[in-house]
Amino acid sequence: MLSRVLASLLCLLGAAAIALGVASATVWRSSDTLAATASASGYLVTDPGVLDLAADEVTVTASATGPVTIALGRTADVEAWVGEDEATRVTGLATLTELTTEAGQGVSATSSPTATDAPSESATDTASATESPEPTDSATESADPSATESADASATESGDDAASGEDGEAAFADPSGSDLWLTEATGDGRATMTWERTDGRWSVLVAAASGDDVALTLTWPQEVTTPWLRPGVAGGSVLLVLGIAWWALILVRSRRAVAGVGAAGWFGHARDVLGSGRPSRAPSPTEGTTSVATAAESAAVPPVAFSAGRRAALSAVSASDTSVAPGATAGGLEQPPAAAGEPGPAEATGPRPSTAAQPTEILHVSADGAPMTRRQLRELREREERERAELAAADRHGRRPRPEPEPEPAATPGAPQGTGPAADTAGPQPGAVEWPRVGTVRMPERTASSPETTARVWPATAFGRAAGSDQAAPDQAVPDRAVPDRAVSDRAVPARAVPARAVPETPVPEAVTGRDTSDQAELDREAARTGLRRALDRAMRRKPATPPVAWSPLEASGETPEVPELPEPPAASSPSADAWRRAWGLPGTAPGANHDQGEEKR
Amino acid sequence: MKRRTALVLALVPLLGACAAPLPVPEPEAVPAVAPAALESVQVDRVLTDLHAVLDDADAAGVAAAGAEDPGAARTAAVDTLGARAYGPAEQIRQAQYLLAATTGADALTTIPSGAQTVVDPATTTWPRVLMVVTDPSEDLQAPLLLTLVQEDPRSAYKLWAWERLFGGVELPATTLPGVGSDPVPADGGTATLTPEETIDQYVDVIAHGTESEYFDGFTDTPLQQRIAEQRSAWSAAVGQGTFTETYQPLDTGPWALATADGGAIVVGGFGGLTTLTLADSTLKVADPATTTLLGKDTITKNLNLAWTVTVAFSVPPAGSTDPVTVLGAEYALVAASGE
Repeated sequence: MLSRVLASLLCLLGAAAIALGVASATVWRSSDTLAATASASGYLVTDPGVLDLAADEVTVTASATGPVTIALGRTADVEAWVGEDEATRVTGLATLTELTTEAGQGVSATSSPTATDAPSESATDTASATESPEPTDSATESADPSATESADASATESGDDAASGEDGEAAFADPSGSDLWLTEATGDGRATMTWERTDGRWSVLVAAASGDDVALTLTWPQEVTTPWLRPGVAGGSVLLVLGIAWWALILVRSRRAVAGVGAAGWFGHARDVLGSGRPSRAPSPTEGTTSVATAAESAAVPPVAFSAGRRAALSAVSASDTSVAPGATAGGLEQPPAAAGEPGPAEATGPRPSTAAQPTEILHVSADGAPMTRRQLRELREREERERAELAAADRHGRRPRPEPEPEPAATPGAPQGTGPAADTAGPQPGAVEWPRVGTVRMPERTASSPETTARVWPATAFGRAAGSDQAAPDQAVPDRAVPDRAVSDRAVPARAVPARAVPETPVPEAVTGRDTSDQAELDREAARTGLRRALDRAMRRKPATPPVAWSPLEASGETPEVPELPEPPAASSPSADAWRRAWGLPGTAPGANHDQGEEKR
Repeated sequence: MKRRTALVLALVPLLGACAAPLPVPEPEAVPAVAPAALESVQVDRVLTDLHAVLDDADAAGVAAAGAEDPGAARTAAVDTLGARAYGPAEQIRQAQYLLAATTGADALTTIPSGAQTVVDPATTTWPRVLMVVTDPSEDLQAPLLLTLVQEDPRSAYKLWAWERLFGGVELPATTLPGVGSDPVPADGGTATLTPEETIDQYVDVIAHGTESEYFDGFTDTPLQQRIAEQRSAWSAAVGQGTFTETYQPLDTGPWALATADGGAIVVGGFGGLTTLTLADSTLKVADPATTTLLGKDTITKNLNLAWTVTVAFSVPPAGSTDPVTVLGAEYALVAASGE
């Protein structure tokens, strides 16, 4: 009991860690921009360095009632332009949303000399203009106006500057259009500009054309890190998996313990799991109650089966042939029970629940995103075959008497109970009722979400095929797919490959044993992980002799017999060269002449 | 109590860690060497705007001849021009608008919009000078050296002068526009002559010709030859009367930017005043520009002609014994009066 609590706690902790990790990167993720605002009347000037305060890229937004201008230029130029006028300097960040400002006058001294220069110059201008070129006035009537005009213009300009310096806002100038600005943006009520950090000292000058209040917003993109996402999810996943594994272990143990009392066994248990899992989609209270009645664990199992990853699904699934159905290759695995089902009525119901269970399983596998590996499928199939044989044998005596006490004692009493009710009450009826429902409900869902073309494609897909087979009589539909053949041919592939590649005098045993041990080790590991050791043990015992692997003989031949025969000096390179040649359809390892030819061709 | 204190003590730094410190501006240090005052985009913008203004003003100036009040229309054209031109450039253009009344748009000097060389000032002070060598114009006229000046921070770069570059002259090497060339103060620099000295001495050469003590300091140019020809023509025409010529540097300028080798490109201008006084004779003026500006072709008493000349020099760096190279010039009659 304590271990169950601990295992659940572990799962909970894991889930919580994942949730927190994800939340830290989503809900609690800090804003990816930093936007700070300042407002003032008149000119608003940023200090150098403010633009790239928080990031290399900044978006400058200015708003005012009426035309507003953002002008960007070198700080010295901006300050010179402002000159003696009053301007509000933006000096930095006060908070994450506010800029600090400082009222300043005559931001820089650089402009003052020119300001004082200009009047004196223009004064001399006008003086010399009247004085020098034209002693005789009549001569330059037409030239005169221009001379005085330009002098006047500069005089008034500089006069303006001086006046604005003294009177503050008396003369407010619009910064737009000056040649000083690298870029500028003008808008009515609002202007925006983006700026990327550039070497040097740069500032923006913001002003409303009217000189009224203007608001400046600097927005920097922020690099938001999510330091807790990965550790949270990774750690949480580990905890969750551990918890689930613990649960699986607990279940396996308890099954063993209960075996004598008449537990459901693998088969029945899995059905319970599936049966009680199904109500969540299409409620069938009868099933739920039966499953609870049959196995004590079943109440606890469904969440595991549904929430857990593929291993949990496996533990549930591996017992039931049904789960295998979804995939195209897996579909073939349905066949044996169907074929075996022919002889007796018991068998006829047998496959039914299996197909009835399919939809849930399909969801399972697809939801987990972890299709079963080929080995798992193989194991399942082998167990099926064995069970089928048992069933076939048992048929003559009655409903699954289960003569073998050997690997699955739980199955003996469990089978009649588990499959019996499931087949009689839950199995066929809900299955028959549900199937069309599930099929019709789900198919439209998918098709609705996908364009018509894919809707037409659907029947060809695995899901469509499964649905199609469900609508048809399972017995009929199944044999059509002679998948076992395919499976067999699959396995035959390496065998076929052997003569093509391998050198005849391959020392087979080495390769076989090598592979066998590795296989066994892998199986062991898997068994240890899944807690299905016994089932796997059985599966392995029945496993047919593994055919030699295609590539291992090659390696072996490269080491032993070939080397002395090869005339070519580089013994190490010959196997690879050989393989290369074969790959290109050139004559294989052979006398030096051939070899040379091959090289020449190359 | 103790526990709570410990808890608070443990939490405070945690909370503090949550609030990242506000970023602080880290401005670059003020550069020891002033950067180029104008980025290339700014130069492009200035030139584009200059040509837009020139086009507008030129169109108005040429059309002014047909207007009801040609004088006012011409003044309006010059006002338009004033946004991007001043000084001798404005004066010369204004005279050309007048000339356009008789000779049409041909009277206007074509200012090509393409720029083959930009000499960008590297400065943080004003006035700022931007020099541009244009592409050769479509009618195969010589490229022009444009001098644009920004008098103060709030004014625009305005065309101060253009000079037709003489054939065969080579513009001295300048630093890349991105780096910028140092401005040379009118009375300073590292060249053999300051800009003011350059223009003063050249005015002396123009006024006195070979008799000038600075004659050898400048390369001989078509400008000098043309002025000499005019001088002899007028003095021959005036006969018994008097003929005087005065030259004086313009009040604005000269402008100068340093070249890569420490010399300077100097652009300056001077005004010339030619005064003829006739003694009991009449003079028929043949020159169309003069008659147009004068408004008549026959004078009986006197004639005053005002010239505006702008000249571009390449002054060698200090220590060099080379003469100042006269790169180009524009010579225009801007006013004429007489009886």
